[in-house]
Amino acid sequence: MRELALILLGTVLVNNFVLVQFLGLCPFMGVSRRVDSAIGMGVATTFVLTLATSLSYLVNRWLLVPFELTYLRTLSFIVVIAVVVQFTEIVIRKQSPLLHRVLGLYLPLITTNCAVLGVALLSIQQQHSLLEAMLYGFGAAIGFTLVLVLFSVLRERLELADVPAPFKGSAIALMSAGIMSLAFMGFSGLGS
Amino acid sequence: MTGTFITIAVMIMSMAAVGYVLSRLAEPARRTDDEDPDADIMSANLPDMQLIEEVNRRLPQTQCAQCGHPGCRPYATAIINDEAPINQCPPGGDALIEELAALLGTDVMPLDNDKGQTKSAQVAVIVEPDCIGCALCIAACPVDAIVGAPRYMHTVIADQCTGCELCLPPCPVDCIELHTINTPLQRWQWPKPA
Amino acid sequence: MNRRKPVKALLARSRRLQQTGRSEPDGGLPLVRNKPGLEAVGVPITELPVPEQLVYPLLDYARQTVQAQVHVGESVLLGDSIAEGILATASGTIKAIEHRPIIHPSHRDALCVVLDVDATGDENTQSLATSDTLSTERLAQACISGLGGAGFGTALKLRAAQNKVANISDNSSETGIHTLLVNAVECEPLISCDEALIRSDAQTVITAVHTMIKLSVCQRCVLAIEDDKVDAIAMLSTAIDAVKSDTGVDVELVKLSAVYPSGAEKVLVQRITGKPLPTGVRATELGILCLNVATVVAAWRAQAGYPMISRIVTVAGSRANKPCNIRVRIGTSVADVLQSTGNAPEADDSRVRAGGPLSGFDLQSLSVPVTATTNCIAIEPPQSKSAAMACIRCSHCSEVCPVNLVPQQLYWYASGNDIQQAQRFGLDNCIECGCCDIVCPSSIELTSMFRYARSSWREQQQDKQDADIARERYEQRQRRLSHREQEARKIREEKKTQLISSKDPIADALARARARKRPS
Repeated sequence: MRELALILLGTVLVNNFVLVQFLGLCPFMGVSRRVDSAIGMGVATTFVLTLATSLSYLVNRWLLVPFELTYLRTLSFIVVIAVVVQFTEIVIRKQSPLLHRVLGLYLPLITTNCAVLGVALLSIQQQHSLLEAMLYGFGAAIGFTLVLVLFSVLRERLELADVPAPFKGSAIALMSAGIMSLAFMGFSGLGS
Repeated sequence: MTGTFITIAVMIMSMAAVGYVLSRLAEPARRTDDEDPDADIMSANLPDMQLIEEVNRRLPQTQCAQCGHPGCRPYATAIINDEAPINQCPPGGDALIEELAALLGTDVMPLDNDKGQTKSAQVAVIVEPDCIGCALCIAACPVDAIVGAPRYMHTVIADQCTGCELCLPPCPVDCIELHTINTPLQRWQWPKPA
Repeated sequence: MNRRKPVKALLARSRRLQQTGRSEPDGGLPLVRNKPGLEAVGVPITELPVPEQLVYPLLDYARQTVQAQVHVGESVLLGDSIAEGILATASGTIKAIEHRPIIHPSHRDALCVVLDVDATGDENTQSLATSDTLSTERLAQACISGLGGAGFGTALKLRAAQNKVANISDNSSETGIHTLLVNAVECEPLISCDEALIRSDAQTVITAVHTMIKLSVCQRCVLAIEDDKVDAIAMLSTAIDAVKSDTGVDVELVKLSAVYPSGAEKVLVQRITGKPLPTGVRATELGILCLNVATVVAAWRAQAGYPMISRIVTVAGSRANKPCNIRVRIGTSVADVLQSTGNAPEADDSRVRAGGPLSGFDLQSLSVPVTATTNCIAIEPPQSKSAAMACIRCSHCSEVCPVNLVPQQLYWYASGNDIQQAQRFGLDNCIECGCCDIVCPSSIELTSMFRYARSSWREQQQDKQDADIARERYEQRQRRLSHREQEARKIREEKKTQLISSKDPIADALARARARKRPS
């Protein structure tokens, strides 16, 4: 029980995948213009990450390891992730065409989100069980969503602020992301 | 080596099968043209229809064709199909551009000056002594705001007129004028403080 | 650790408040009492002499134009109807129906009826029959409208309250009014017309309240007043004990701590019931009829046959020579009021304002007529406003907001033209009281920005409605045209099949032509 709680704490705050491990920065910068699209992206990524990590664990445990095909790990994980992302995209298109349009290209780009593949591979590296892998993926996605939503709120305010001309747009956004990252690194040592 | 290839092939095919099954579950079966004679290209794509409706609701509905499309709904369709940018509507002005940018998650851009300027509220008024009762303007008005019949006096219902100016070209005697409406007192707005 | 104590204290406080039904305001500012112009207790209110000309703007409470029911040259008597909801307040001849300046923040003109006065009449000119009971019809006849500031038609309000399903809180559906809330709070500095009315004759006020209780058939009646109006409270208590009524409902005198803006209906209802009004819900929808005390008195006089022809106006301000409360005939110009009371502005740079220091606005012309909603005319020196500085996010504004908004954020979004986002933050609930302006350390003009944002939003909504109507008409037209085309196509198809199937098409055509020619 304590290990599971620690995994959750670690992935959400201490070793946040976006701000501490610097994975998944592409959707982080690309979708964080507005809060509603950020929340939508966060939910989609949560779904994808949890499912993909669990399926990847299963593929690894029952297919790759017994048949000594571990060199196919990257390839097979990408296939798993691609399928899950495609399914997610179809569901979103049916449920909310507006969200689908607003997210645009970033939805299929979850496939190439290094955080998703990274979480799957890191989970294998840390020799998690199925439950631990699922929680690892879920926690990573929650951390991603948390940071994405916080950043999008920040960016909405930055939109109307009186920013000096050289810093307008992505520059001030990246600087704010850096300061957020500093803040999140303050969590290190929590839970030990 | 063959084992590797077989494994890869089996894996890809099984994932494809899973994906196909899942997508079939997510998407309800569509009616084909044989079963539904009213189905056409427009009604087949439901999510896009919803989006087009959302955009159309925000357009000013003057049907003036200043954007280059024959009405507001065709313009909305063009926006959703990425065939037209969001800054083509002069009656909507900058407020419309901001609203569409917020809705679709795109950037705000300045109004396209080639399409015309945003004008203040106006109504068409028929100069009655000159009207010959030809009913050409009645046919042109997109919201049926002109009342009349052939050889009878035509008049514009001011409340219904959107100021789209589509009745001006067909009139053979040029008897239609555009009058700017003074904002009534109940629609007076506070000015924005500096 | 005694961490439970604050919780216990909070629970005890909330229980206490629920019992008394009075809550402390969530925000608001306890402003220092500043009510010049009050006479000694019991002194009747001076009536201003009626001028030679009276002007009536042809507008209703929503500033929509109403049709004049008289024409130029017509003679009217005191109490005759000039337009829907507007009565002649003296007898005379209609001089003109033309555009004149009116009391409105836009400083624009509006169509007005100008009356040349022949006979002034007085308050006791009875133009309606006395009736035993008050009815909503009588309220409408006497053109009683709210004298608190908004000017809603009282008959309409009563009818709306009677028809609405009341009492959302306990999920029971009762029709009608269960609480009559008489608003004598008058929280804004300088304005003291309601207090003057009570101080001059509290017995009349209580009699009038009982009449309104009878009309509204309510179960509870609350007369709310600020606790620093000491003399008025004493008079009201005496009057409540003295006046007997057969309605069975007693007038509860509730003394609220003097916090601005408790006089606003939304804030007052929250203070009295302890529960805030949900967004967009009016008090009448919850079965609470909230009326200004002067409106109630006017309604009682309507029962006796006297239409509402005048109102009490406070003349005050730091440059007013003789602050006073006087009874002014509706239609009198502000210039006449100031002249007759000895308050004509002497300095060139004096500003004359209509309304209080927080809810009012400057007037550009003094020839504007007093209406039923003019509660105060103030003469002030020129405004010395410090320049606005940047917002420092101190949050004083949200601490004092009486309707629990965050003016900081509203200002941010409104100034960035993102009014939709400001709406999500509750811009609709803003009562434009001005508390946030007072406390802002950067002197930012918050209320002006909110007024702009709210009126801009209303305009956008109106435009959307117009666009929706235009779209429906367009789509209807498209359907009609396509239907017509389909019909035409069908007929053509039928004709074609007929032609193809006929053996001798020429004979058929001749037969058809003959059939058309023959008179049938």
